[in-house]
Amino acid sequence: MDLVALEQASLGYDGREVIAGANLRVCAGDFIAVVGPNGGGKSTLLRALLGSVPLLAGRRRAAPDLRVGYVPQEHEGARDLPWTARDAVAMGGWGRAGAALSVAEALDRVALQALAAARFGTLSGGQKQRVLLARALVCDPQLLLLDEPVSGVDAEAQAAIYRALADQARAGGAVVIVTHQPDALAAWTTRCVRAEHGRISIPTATAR
Amino acid sequence: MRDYLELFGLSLLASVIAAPVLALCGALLHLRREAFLGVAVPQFATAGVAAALWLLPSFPALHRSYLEHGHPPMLYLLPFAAGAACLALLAYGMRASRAPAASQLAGGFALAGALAYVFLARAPSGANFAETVLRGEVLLLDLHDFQALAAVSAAGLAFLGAFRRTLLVGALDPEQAYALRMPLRAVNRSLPMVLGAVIGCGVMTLGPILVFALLFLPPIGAALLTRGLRVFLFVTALLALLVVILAWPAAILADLPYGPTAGLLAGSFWLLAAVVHRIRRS
Repeated sequence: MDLVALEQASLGYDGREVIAGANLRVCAGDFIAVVGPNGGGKSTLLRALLGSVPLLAGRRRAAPDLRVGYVPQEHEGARDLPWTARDAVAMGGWGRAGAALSVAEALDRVALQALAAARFGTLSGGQKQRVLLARALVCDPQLLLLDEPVSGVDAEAQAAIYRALADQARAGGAVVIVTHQPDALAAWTTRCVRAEHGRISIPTATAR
Repeated sequence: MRDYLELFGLSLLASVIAAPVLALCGALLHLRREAFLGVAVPQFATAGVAAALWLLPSFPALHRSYLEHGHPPMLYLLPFAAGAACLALLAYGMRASRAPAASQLAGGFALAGALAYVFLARAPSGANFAETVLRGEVLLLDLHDFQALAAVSAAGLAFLGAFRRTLLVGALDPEQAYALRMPLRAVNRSLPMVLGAVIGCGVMTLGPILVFALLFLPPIGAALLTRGLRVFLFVTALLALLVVILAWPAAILADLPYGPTAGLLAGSFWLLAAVVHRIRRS
């Protein structure tokens, strides 16, 4: 059964089309890497799966009561705003599905428990990404959407993020990840989707 | 004490009811990084109040009601409408992207300020109004004002409470709200109306100086003293309550208008918070 699907979807902002005629189905157990050049529409495709980009044409179907975890490309996380890593992770359980993991458990999965009380805005880029991944894991998501979660992240943090994704895939959850490093994920990806020149294509199929 | 409460009880109660609601609205604007709206909306609402006073004599029945019983509904409707117009201008500015939205709002702020003074100059009761409400003399609050303020504050607080999670996630990370399937679009559409009503009613009854002070100063002071979201919101509301309560004896002792006294007190708390923050960091 599809968790989420785009059918002949035209995606863009303020009436300007970025991707035309997108067809993509994401099922349980899928691990999809979205690749392509900068400006090719990878993030737009991910946001369309999330539902935060209104479609210009076509349709998006999502399973009822779908639990989604989302990790953005980067988070400004201004230093002066009074929210902690704990607050950021807790938000992952504020949806209709509630929280399947405690904040401490989620932070433990990304090896960041020690920074729970730190202001989110004072964390490094890699630490922020791990906090956002912990937030995405709190609701035990059926579908995990990640937009370049390891950009600007050191090797150790990358390994922690990839381990968490591998756990998610092993547990039967679907993962869609925008990445410039598909080779690093080759061991787990079941499909690779390319977003380029306003179109999406599926150039390779890899058995897990 | 009894005399004091008889004289100021209604006004004191009104300021205690409105203060945490206004401060929480300000905290939300602070988290959304839209604090400039806290300046612009009261200014637009003030222009709405002035326009209502200017138009009143054109409606004899309403004018008579104003002179005999206090504020007719039009005096509330126009500030609400003006506050909502301000937020609509911002939304239009953000969508049209011809100039930075904040710059367009700043232009609107300047225009609203000028219009407020022109309307007041032309309104028969404008000078009297400017002398009382615009200076924050909440002593003159009547029962109608109190009822309107209490009802609007309660409605505003109910909205903030019911949608607190959506509002907080929408302020700090809007896309996360979609992942959590929160009704962000609907809440964002309602927010300007709620802020317009709370701030517009505050300007109408408490005056813009007190509204400015309660919207801005408690949240930025609390942000310096706290780390987590819950504590930040609690300290914001607490500071606002302390300001409006302590401003009463301070205004009486110093023989100053209430609004500016509360503003100075809130500013002192902010300064104190900044000092504590600096000491902690060093």
